[in-house]
Amino acid sequence: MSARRWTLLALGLLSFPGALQAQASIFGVRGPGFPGRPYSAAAIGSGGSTGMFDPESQLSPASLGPLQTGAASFTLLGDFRSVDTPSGSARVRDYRFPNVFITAPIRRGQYAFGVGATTYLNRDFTLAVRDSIVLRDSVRSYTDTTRSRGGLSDLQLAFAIRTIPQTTIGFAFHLITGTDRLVARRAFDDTLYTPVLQSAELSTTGFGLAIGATRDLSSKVTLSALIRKDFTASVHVDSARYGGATELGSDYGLPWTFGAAGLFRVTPLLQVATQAVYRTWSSANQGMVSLGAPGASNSLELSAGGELTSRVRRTTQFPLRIGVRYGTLPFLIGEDATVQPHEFALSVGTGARFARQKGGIDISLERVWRSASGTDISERGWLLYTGFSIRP
Amino acid sequence: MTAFMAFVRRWSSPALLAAVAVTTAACSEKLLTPVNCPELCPGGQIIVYDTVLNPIPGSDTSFAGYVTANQATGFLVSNNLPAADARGFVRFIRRSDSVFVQDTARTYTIDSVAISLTIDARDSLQPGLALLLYKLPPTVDSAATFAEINAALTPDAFIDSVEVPDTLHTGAVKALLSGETLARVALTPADSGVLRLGVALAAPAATGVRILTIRAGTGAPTFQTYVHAAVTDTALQEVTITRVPNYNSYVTAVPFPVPTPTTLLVGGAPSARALMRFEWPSVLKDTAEIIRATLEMVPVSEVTGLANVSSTIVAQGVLVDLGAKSPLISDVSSSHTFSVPTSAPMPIEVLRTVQLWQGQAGRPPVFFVWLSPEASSFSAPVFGSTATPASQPRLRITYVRPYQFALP
Repeated sequence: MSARRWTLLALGLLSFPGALQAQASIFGVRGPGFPGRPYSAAAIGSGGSTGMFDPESQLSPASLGPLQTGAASFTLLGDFRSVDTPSGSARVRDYRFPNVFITAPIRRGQYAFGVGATTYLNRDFTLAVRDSIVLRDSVRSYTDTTRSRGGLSDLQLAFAIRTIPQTTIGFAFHLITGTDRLVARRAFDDTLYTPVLQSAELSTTGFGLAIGATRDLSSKVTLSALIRKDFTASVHVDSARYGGATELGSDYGLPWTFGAAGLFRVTPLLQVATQAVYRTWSSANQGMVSLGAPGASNSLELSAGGELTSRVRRTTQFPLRIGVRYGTLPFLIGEDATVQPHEFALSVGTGARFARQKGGIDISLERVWRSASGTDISERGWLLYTGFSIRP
Repeated sequence: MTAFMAFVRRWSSPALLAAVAVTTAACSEKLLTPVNCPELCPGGQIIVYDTVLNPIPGSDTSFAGYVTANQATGFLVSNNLPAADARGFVRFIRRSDSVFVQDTARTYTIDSVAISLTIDARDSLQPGLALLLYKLPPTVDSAATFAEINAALTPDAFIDSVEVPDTLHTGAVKALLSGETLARVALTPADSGVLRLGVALAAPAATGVRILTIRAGTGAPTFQTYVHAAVTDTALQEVTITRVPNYNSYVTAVPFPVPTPTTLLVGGAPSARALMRFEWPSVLKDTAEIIRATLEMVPVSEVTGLANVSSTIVAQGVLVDLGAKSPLISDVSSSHTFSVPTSAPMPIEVLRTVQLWQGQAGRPPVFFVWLSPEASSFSAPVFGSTATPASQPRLRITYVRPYQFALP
């Protein structure tokens, strides 16, 4: 392995963070979190359009079809965003692991399995509000800080059958679980009032089942489809200052997911892909509204992208990936008139394999714009994904 | 196309390195975002409540007799001060008629005498103060009344006038007697070696002072006698005999007020304390996070005392409610310092004490209110009680209920 590749690997290992926390988006605050994207860094580079064909991504269990050897992959995400609200602007940054996946073929390649974890809903945020109230006949100014760390992880056990020619059928069981640590603090300017400091932990569990299929129609065209059902999320609160866990009774529904994608090998050096994913988040609407949130609506993600390589026999060495993505976000904002936010993203990426194809690094840079029509709330950011993979 | 891909290959490695470096640089988080409510605030809001509690009717009362004048840390002296016209009385420990030098009791001759007193409080704006010291006869004892002591402060009993410098707010003043003036403090056989000192105050206007006693720890009155012992070795002849009081008190022309069924009295001598019991709602006991608690005491009459000298009312919780003998929670107290004259309500911030009332093992919702320094203040505030609803004590609690974290 060359010195440059050792340097890459060393820098990659150094990049592990001490804290894995992030504010996914301001648009996840009024819901159970901001939806994660179960894609590898390579798939992100093409806008996520190859997610249902990428064995390092966890969207569809059928994506294990192309798997040739066992692999362990993980993705790091550096998040640099600017957030604009009517109360001001802020530049935020953070860091997290959105995708960890271990896969292996079994029975001489007739089957494959994968065990992984992705971010299902991310609820990391810190919000500050400056306001005042009348207390004891005087106006008292205060600063509220609401902090949340946690969310839901999607733990997946996937299994793929590759015994049917040109076809892969995959099944997956998803355990959706996580803890959300919340702190609310109010500090009055008048120090005769001591700061309010309350904390709680929300724990949520649910599960889901998925089935996916991939079919090579020809050497140039592969199609894939996915159906997934996630069942009700059960929420518990352990916030009692005087002890004891409380049954919140605030369960909410989780969505069906329907996905379809096509991969087109235009030339030996160029492939393009397109993908659509539809999630019925409206199943969570009633639960959200009953909890006081504006609500939830179905979301649609459309993506397209391509990968261009320079050498037929070394397609993994420094390909150029580009992609575009548009999506609606599931959790509404606004009080009287609710609005469904949306996002648009452009991405570019590349990658390399080294150590006789046993190690790999992929990077993707995504520029994302999120907003809600009719509001002054928006954010734009750079999302830098770095993926590492090992194939022993 | 070939040139383009060559460009991609050329720059991919640096891009990978840069990406890893940038990702590493992002390790620290910065998440704080200003937002507007309710659009971007989680549904749960911190709602602040403010409530006023009054003592349980009839459960608030004053008890007297906690600290007597001779147990106080200071004694009062004044000249016709309306709040309290007071005279001081100090009885020193017996001075022997011999001293031990080289393990032998020896007679002595007195060279000089010094009497020292420490001013603890005075009206800093009143100039021209002087302490008048008198030698009281043995007939004056701890049971003496104001009239008896005042009658004994005669010119014949006069020892000295000790000027209190106008710049001296606190500190010692001393009377030094020698030569002919020694006769003023000469102890007769009837005195049995005990100097009884009467203290009065002279000033251009009615005012007063507080002087530290032996119970204050430091600054106690001292009676020092500088003598020559009957011993041949001149180096051993000079001896100082120092005596501190074994009794120290003061008397007032008019006794301090005593508790009544319709008012709450604090202060005076013997000192009075006010006890108040509250109905403690379950929401405050078990659920609320209290962020401010204020006990407001409302005087029913103007509080008088010594001008430009502050007094303090102190509120403390009790470990158990045993009425007048309830043990105080010693390490948590709250206070309000006031100057006289005043008729304004006196607020005491009592958050820490009230927080002790919370929880299953909370302390009883009871306050003891007393005046500091106890039994050595010219003030004796009289507050309204539940028998006088317009001026009854009020406990004002500001609190929040548990935040509804589950609300997104």
